[in-house]
Amino acid sequence: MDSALTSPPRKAASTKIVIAGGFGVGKTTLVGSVSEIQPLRTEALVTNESEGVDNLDAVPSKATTTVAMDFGRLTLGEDLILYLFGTPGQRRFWFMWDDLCHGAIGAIVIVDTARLDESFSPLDYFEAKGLPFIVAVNQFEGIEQYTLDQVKAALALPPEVPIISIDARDRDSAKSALIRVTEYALEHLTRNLAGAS
Amino acid sequence: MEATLRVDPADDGSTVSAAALQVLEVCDRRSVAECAALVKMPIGVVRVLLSDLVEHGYIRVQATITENSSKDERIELIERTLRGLRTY
Repeated sequence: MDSALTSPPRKAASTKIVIAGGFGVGKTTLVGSVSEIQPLRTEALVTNESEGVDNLDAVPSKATTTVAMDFGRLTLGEDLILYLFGTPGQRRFWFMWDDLCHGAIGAIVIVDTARLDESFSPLDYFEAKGLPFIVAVNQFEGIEQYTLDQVKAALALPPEVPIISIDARDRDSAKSALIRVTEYALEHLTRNLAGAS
Repeated sequence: MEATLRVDPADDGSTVSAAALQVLEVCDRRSVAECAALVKMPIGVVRVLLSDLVEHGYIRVQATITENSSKDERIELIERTLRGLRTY
């Protein structure tokens, strides 16, 4: 019980990866296929005088509203729990993302090649925040319409950003995306260490 | 949000509100977000209840990565996560 007090550099007991992407792109499906619990939903109360929101036109006139976030959990050992947080999709709730991304290992941006335009905002957001992210193309119905290189070019991704193809319904596929983003976060961090920080 | 809680048996004996008690009952080894989902309260409300519980010694918050974490701490955590994921 007192071990937390006697060992000064306390090891993190939990961490998180953020799952982003447009509405219906497979965020909750991915969370559900690897989570050891049924994805849970939590809500945050939000007032309309939210900071950092540039487009208030679309906000309804009521004083408060709720933002729902779906999340799952993976126990990675005695001393480590990984949480996966799906981002609230609506653009006006983006200030919530700061809270979600704070302390995260990295992010997976899931894209649907039929609706690539929905991916630009999350990509810009993570790039601006400096949070390592990868792009995962969710293969609906197993039909690959475009090559990953084509998608990468269409999204104008920086060359170092990994892009993979996944089936969000498949546990191993979802897991491979989590491994890839974690590896990339490590590369990102060690590369920064070498350079000026 | 992802920080996990541990119930500490060494509380100071003070009484807590019914809402806080509800949170106390579910929070052991769970994150702030999980507690909020389980008691069906907004996350901001649960944060306030949890901080009261911490103040009275009922629970403690386990470490996570923060802005103050060193790069070594971050690397250690990411490596541990990677090892865990590979065998998950």
